[in-house]
Amino acid sequence: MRFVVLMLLLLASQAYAHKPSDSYLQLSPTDRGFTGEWRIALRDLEPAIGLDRDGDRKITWGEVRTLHNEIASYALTRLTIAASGSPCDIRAGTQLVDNLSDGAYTVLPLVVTCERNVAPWSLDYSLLFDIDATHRGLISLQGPDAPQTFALSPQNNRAVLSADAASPVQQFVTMAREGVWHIWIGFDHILFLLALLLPAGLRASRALDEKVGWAPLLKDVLTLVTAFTVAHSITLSLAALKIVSLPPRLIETTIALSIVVAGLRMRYAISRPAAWIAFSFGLIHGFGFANVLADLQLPTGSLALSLFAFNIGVELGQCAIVLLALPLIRYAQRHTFYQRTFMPAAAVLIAAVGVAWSVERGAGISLGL
Amino acid sequence: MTCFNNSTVSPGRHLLPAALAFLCIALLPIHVQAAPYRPAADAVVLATVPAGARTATTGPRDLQTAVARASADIELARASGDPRYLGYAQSALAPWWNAKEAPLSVILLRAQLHQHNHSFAAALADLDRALVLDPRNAQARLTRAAIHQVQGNYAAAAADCRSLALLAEPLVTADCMSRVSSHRGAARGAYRKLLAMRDRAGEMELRQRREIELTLADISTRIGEVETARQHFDQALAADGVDTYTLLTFADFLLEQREYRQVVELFERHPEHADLLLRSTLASRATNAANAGPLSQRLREQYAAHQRRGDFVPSRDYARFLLDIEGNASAALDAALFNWKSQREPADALIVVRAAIAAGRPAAAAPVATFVREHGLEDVRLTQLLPLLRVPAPAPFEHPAQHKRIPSERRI
Repeated sequence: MRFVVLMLLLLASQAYAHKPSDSYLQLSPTDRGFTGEWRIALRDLEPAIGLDRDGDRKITWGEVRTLHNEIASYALTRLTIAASGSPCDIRAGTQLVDNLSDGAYTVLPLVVTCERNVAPWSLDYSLLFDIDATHRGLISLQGPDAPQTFALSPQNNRAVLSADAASPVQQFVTMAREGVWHIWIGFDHILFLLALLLPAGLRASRALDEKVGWAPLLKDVLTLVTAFTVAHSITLSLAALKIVSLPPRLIETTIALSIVVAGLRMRYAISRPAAWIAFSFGLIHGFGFANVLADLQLPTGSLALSLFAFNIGVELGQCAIVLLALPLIRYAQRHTFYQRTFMPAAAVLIAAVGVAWSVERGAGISLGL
Repeated sequence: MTCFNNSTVSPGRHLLPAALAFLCIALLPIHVQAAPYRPAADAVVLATVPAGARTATTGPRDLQTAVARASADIELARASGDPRYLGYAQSALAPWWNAKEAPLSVILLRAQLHQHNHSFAAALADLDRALVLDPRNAQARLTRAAIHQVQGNYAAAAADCRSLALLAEPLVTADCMSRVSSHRGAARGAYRKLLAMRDRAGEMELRQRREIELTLADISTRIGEVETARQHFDQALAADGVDTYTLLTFADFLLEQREYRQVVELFERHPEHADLLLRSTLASRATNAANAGPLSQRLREQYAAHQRRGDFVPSRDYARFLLDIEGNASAALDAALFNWKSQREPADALIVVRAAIAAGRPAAAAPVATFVREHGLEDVRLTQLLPLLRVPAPAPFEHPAQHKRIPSERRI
């Protein structure tokens, strides 16, 4: 009776200093998706595709080069990347070679293009899993901080890439856009700002028909916008970084009250400097922005950057509103009608809206406003 | 980076700090890696394929083909030292891999794969099942005896070897028994018996020849008979084709005999056997050869790449790497002790003891010393080092005459 395998040969449990098979996929985020490199061992492609066409047991560059399309197509049919569920297009460029610690690998440069390039991205990997149960796909995604890495196996063949993956530039742009958006849709902030802007440059003591130049107007606008900006930037940061925290309802109600105050000032206390109101209520408005920020999916790795970008966005949005309003205000202020009729009426209206909002928010009821 | 310098006169001035900030970010160094290149000519050889390698097709999943394929893959893995083939074997058996009620042929192969992956418990479970299905299956018994021996369960190994008597050739049984009893305080007797059986047997299959010679070489080494061991190694290498286990065992022997040049030559002749890289690196370092540094770096990179997979298990060789190349005795001791949990061959004991002494923690090797003492494990290299742990060397079974030929100084 003979045995194919004798005892000692079974004891080769110390052998295999070589590790089992791995491929290395590195990805870097771009505006449209990703670029990357995929390194696949030539020894792995041999049983999969049969690189050694002339059977001399040597795999040459010539053989690898001529089989480029087959290699690329074999690999790409076993890799799927999707952004928010919709598949991205993956293209492979001309391959190169890299010598790693356990042999020669082909390097496929990749360009991944996603239609809607938003988080989360999913990556499904199945290279060689049907041939080699010990193969692993080692994925590395470059990010602003340390790369996200995944080791994919037949049992776990999907990686989900989070928002942290976006490049700093991408994140900056996204958050800045959010900032602009949120001030444009923030009617309470706009109303407050307008309530301070409309009477800018005007003084109660002046004669109603006296001509005024740009200078007082600009000076007033700059002062109050700066005061408002400084104040809300401070509290936005404090709240977003969780250093100070106030109840949302209190914040929202106070914002509404600020509108009332601004309206009343417009009517009755026009000569009072706007800067102080702008600053003190600006502090509260900052908390309001922070609430909004809290609802967005922020990349945890770079909160400060996102905050900064959001703030920039808010300033830019604000800037736009001011620039739009300024010429109109300047034009309107030249007419007596403006100061005599329009402004008081507007003041009452603004204050009334403010009161209504205060009631809504304070009492937690909805008046359909 | 949090430049909230918003106390400027106009909103527009925010753009400057913003631009500066984003310039800073954009210039941050991205992960730097090795540069891929385009080979100079079509004829440049990038990789070689071992003989007998097949083009793996995911073909029909019938039992016979799968088993044949998996067996061939395991054989190739052993011959080449490349664990890829174990992965192919596992894939070939995929339909039955997790099945408790798999056919006997699959269970036997599965047990071997588990054993190669150091999943000894799973391997033993499969072998127990195989022997329930077929109590007279000598292959299963042999495999189980081997695992028990590696794990230091000599009594269980001996029982399995003994039961081979009715199932296998006398030579196979003798080899099995000699191996086991040589670890239990009866080394010289085991050697003599096996030698006698070998001489009586005359002609035998080449693989069996190699097997017997390696057993005799191992026993000779452990009792300090260096010249005899060398002769047995030569016979083993001449007997059959090259396989990984033979090469690395021989390389270790050469290292101990300080035959550094021969170790390097061995590696140069068989560069595809990655296990030889460690031995060759040790030899290069011992002779202060110019390539010692690059070889060490290669080894370092291989281990690092393996660890990136996330399923790296510290082995005896890794502990040797940490101790003798990286000079990190403490980490080597941790790796050696981890390895000791599942493997208890003399070489596993040796690395624990050496690492414990080097790390200044002799007490950590106490379990090893206890094991050696309890079983009467004979190994001249251990006997030399154990007193340094301040633990008595195995005395009960020793014959005073056995130690007369110990060389005065032996370093690995």
